[in-house]
Amino acid sequence: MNHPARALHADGSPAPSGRVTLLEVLDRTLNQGVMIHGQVTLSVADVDLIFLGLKVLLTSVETAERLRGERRWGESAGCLS
Amino acid sequence: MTAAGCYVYCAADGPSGAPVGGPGVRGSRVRQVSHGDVRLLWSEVDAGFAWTERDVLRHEAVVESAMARSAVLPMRFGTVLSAPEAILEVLERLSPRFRATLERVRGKVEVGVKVLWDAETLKGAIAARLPEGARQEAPGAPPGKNYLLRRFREHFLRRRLEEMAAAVGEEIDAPLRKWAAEAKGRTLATDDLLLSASYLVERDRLEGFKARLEEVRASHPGLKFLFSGPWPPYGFAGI
Repeated sequence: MNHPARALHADGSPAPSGRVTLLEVLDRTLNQGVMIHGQVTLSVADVDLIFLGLKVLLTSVETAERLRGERRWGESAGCLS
Repeated sequence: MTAAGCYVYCAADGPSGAPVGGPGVRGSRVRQVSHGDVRLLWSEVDAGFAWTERDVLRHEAVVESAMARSAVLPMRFGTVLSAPEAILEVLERLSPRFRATLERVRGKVEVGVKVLWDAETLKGAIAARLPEGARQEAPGAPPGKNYLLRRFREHFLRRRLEEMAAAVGEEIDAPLRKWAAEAKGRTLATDDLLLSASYLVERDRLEGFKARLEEVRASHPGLKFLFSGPWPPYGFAGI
């Protein structure tokens, strides 16, 4: 499926930066956003089963950098879409 | 499908009839419930399933689709309410706060900035400037002394790294903060992560903000920058 997040790179370069985008998406959706508490709530981010490994990855951005391989973070001018 | 829960994506304002993007998590249909001018976007989900990476991306896609037309407050991924009535209850209870926060983020997007440096090299450089006696353990010294020396050195290097991160982080953050409506961030979440920050930026100031990013990057050639966005305001949606 397509990544919902914006193309991080104006040149449309795919794989490694897409991986970084995924980490950024996970970082936001799993760790931030509104939390609703109360009796009506069945679960809030009760997703530690599958995402445990990914969360560990997220704690270190260096990992993302490694995933991105030889590319430097700031190489492309169009990181923002 | 037996509905066992209601997955909630985000709160949004704007006309309730506005179409919403889909599919949602688990391929579900995305629905809306309104209370006054505040809507919650949600899907029926069955119990006992495991979330996948695809669901996270669908969550994000639904939120972004809503964001194209309205102000949105994204929920944290995995928020499931017990029944459709619970959605209404949440809306009735929280709509004043939703409304106020939607107003705060209206017309704005989040931009992520991460800045990395090579902490090991920096620490090496700092250690090299320590006085001779503090630089390394003396071969014949008692183990206790060497232990304390090692602890002192670790503590000193960490403190010095923190001071440097605070100073450089401020250099990077200050001009960006000026262009943003709100900002939040921290330095040294890990040794290599000099700065990790999010900025809430007016859409019509986004181009200017990007220009500031490029300036900041250009003036710090030794650092690695990662910019991402525009995002829904995950970091600024606290109600």
